[in-house]
Amino acid sequence: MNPMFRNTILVALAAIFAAAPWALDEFSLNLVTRMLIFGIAAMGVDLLVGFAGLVPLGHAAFLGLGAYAAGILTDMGLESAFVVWPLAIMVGALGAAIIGGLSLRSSGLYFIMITLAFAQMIYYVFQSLRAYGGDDGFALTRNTFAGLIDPYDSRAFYFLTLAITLVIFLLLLRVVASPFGVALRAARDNEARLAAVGLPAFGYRLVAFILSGALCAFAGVLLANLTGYITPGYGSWPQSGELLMMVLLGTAGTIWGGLLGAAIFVALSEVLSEVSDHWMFYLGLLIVLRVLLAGGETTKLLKRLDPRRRADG
Amino acid sequence: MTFSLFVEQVFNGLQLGMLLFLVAVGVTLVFGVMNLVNLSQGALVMMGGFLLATATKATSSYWLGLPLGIAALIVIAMLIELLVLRRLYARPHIDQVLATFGLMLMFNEGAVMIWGRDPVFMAIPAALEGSVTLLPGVAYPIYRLAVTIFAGALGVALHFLISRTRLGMLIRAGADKREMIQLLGVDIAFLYLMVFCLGGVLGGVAGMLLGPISAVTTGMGDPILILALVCVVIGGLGSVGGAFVAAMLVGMCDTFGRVLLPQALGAGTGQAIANMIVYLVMAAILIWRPAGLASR
Amino acid sequence: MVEAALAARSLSKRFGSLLVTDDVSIELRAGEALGLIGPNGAGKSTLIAQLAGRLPPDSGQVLLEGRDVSALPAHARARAGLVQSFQVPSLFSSFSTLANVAIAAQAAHRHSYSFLRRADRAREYVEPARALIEEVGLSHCADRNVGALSHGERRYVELAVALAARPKALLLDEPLAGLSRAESERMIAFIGKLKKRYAILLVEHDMEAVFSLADSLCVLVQGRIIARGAPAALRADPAVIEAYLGDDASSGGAHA
Repeated sequence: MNPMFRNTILVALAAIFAAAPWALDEFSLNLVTRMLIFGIAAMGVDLLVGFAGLVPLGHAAFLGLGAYAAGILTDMGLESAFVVWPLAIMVGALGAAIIGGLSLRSSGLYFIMITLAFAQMIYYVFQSLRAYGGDDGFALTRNTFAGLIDPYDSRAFYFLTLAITLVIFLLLLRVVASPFGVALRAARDNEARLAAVGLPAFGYRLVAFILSGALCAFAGVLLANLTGYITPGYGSWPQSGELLMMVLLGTAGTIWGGLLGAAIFVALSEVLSEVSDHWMFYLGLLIVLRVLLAGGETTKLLKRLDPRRRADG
Repeated sequence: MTFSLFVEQVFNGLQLGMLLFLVAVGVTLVFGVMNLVNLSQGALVMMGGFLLATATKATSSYWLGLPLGIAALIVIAMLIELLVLRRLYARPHIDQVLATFGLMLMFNEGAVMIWGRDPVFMAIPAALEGSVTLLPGVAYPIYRLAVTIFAGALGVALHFLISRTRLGMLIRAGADKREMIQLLGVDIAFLYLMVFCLGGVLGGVAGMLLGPISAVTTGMGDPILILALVCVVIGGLGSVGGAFVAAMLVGMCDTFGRVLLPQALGAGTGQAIANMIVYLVMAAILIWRPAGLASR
Repeated sequence: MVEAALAARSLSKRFGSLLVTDDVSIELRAGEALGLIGPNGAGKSTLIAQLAGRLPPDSGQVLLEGRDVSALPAHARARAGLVQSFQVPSLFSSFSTLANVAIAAQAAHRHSYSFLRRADRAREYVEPARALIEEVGLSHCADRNVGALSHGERRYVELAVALAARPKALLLDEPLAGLSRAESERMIAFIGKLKKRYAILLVEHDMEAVFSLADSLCVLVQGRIIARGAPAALRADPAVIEAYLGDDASSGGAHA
């Protein structure tokens, strides 16, 4: 992309995002906040799908872990986001370290099913937490920011989410272009050759898995704060499927693709559910058509063959 | 636990195991022969239940409804393969996962559009009502016993199909030697269609058998699909024998876990661990054998 | 006595009832090239795989500069300096030529758990990679995707990747396979230069190349070394001619 054109787009995007709180009503603003939050999760999933070449079907578990950890810690009397959020993210990262350590011993379809099964296990843990509403879930008192931000002000929460998303986006851009990111992509392309020059793939994949789990946990924390409510549904496997859809709807293998895909998905669900009670049917149909018609392979092939698009953003 | 309760639970575990095997074998065959992950298998389980309920109602006879329902299942399985799956065999795994996930959403919501959100209850066929006395003091419902025996018979038939017939030979070869099949001049597209229909119908039959036990509801196939995927993972992808052993193991663990753990650990904790027991077993087996039981 | 850069002691490997590696011992010193020849199916690639650690032998040892590396997995052997190039170029398909070589240079450093600096601006990776690419004569396509290169060019990238991993002992598995006559000659000259820097095990079908490059030869037939010695001596050995050269000559593949 030529830099002039790119800068114009960036400025336009910045203007749109900055103006959003004044142009939109509260409902729509929350919708945009939701897009950003799912964008964080989708960027995390894309780190695995697009850069490590691994397809996890259980990342909702980390969304749920983040949300539940935040909710439970808050319930225990910790209120400050500066304490609760990092702890909740660490819970997600720890869960990802354990599940990733076990799942990454396998690959391909096996990996897909194992991640799904582990996520399901965590889902049942949520369901069995009687003290936290079991199947029904529980309400969360929003975390506080030492008086700096009013957590109940939609605009403030939107700007907070926007800032977090932006920082994560920029950090991830660096990470995928770093020696770590290069090793991760090299392992995706040719694991045996990477080992033959002296780098074992497992550790890099595990770190990527932990990073993506932590990002999903962060999204879970934010989502719980946005909605003020936590249910086992955060960790359900359809939710895991939706995270993958977001990656597919964007462009797997680019960090901005996660953001874009999440925005498209959230918007699409919203529009479809306005139009029909049976919007899940049409969503399913759209996904099937998107996969069949767009031909994931062609896009990937084009990207492989065109060295300018091999790049990292 | 009394002896009679123990016997009853063994039979319940067997029954769950056999039903899981029917669902899992479809997933594992499709993987072994076509190298495709099929999340829409759960939808076929559900469709089996609804189709049998509808066909039984329309013909006022369970025994007429059964073949009609199976015929409808075959048509649906063929449509899925011809319209969607066929285009996915050479695709990356994420495309397979998403397209079959999309199919699952379509079927689940489609069932709501046709049959509504309320569960559909099915009567046990008259011939299979009542209980038998297995041992003195141990009565067991005839229908449940019949389900186990029928599912077991299907399993045996499948074993012969795979070990003795030409189709079975191709299925066995398919898991290892794709090129060889092509050299034999076999129409691969037709073989794939057959394999998918076989697996899909077995899953659908599991849903039919379940109908009178639990009610038929939308999404009823999803939890079964996930347990079946666990069986496939434990058994080793593509291995029918492994899937059988794993299904029995999962059936027993799940059944006994739900009875014993709440007794041992108290209702709350026990229930929670009972829900997870299958996954804990899976994790343990994967630490021991990362590629499942059937791997060497 | 000078310590061998790379030694294999009594390697044996069985696939079912087939003995593919039968009590093979070899030794090569720094600055020396050992040629390994043998008919197709003699077990040359299987032997390389065991040396590189991609395939565990049933018995026997692999020693790198006197250190037993038999228990190490492939990546640890590579890091210790035992590096192979593959018979079919095995590259990172979405990377440019430069990035392919640079990742190997990156691997030669202790680890790659560095998250915030840009790999393509890390001079310690990129500069040796550029130097190697220049050395193999591919500077003009450094930024091109490897998928867009010709087979001959990919062969050179393959070799550059192996060299960037900083080998002490280099296992070259048929580096001339699929090259044109002119490309072969250039490659032979290039490997000749490499001889001074590394201990090289050269598996090659092109007899002319092996005889001109190798200081000594081993002849592998059905998993066993049936003869070893100086190239000139082996060329006249009737057993070798029968087992290998004759076989290859009749199929028209050898230039010897």
